[in-house]
Amino acid sequence: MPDIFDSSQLQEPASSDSAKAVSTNTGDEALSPPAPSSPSVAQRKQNAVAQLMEDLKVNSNPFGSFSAKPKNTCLDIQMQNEEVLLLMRKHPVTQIKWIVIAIFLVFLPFLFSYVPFFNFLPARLHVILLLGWFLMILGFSIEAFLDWFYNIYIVTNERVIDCDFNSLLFKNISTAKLDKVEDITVTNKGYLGSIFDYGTVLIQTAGAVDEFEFEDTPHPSRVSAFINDLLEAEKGTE
Amino acid sequence: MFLQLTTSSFDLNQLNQFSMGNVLFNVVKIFFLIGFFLYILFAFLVVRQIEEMRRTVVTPLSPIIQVVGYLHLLFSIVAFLFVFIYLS
Repeated sequence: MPDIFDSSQLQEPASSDSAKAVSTNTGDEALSPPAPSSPSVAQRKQNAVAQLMEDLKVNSNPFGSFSAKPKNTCLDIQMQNEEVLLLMRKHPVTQIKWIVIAIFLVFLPFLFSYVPFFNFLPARLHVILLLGWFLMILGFSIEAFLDWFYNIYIVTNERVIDCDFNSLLFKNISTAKLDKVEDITVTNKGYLGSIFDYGTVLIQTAGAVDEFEFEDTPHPSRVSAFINDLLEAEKGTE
Repeated sequence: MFLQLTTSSFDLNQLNQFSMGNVLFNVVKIFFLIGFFLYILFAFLVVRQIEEMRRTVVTPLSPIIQVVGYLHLLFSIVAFLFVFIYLS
């Protein structure tokens, strides 16, 4: 004789499903338990950094224009758990112009020794003119070097940062959180850019500063891929 | 008497030329001193710029760059003093 059908037994699984359905409205934890093997956001970022450092030669040169996890480098606006992952400057090839100009200017007075251009001036003034000339070249070179060395582009585990020192005592620092990054465009311009692999990385964001321009940065495609990996790591919890 | 007059006028011309040369030289000297003094101000601004940059971005080379900035300022002061003494 078959058992009498007991509807209460049917309702229990339904009630447990509804309980689960209710719990999904309040929290995501009960919907699907996290797979024990899925990496966390921090782990994904670590993996992205490790991948970048494998792909590139890790540059410990303090004058380097492309450094992954540079040592002893930080910013005054850096947050507590923020870490500098990538530091970039303009490619050294873009600085050849002012270096060549400075070297030419250094040797220019020796060319004038063959041309009696300043013979009307007393000999004492020749010395002073030379001194002033070399001082100006020194000042020009120092300014050009500072302009290259301290105009940096930084990618941290939280933000992208653009530090600009446009002239004496003018500073402009733009930051955007990684989750505000909307679009990344890479441009290689000119034959030098193609030969030496440098170009412009244009990052469009949803923040107050809607566009970041990493100009003449080395390995722009790798920079774009790295930022995309970080964004994927950020979005991994969604 | 005519010869005395011409001789004295010749000395006067020489004296005038000598004074004009001195005046011109002093003017040029003042311009050079002003130029070198302005360069001292520029070197001081460079030192301030380096300090601001150091405060913003900390790198292993920051102390060396600061030393270079101070040396540059010191060199500009020494150059000014040299010009002042050399042209006096």
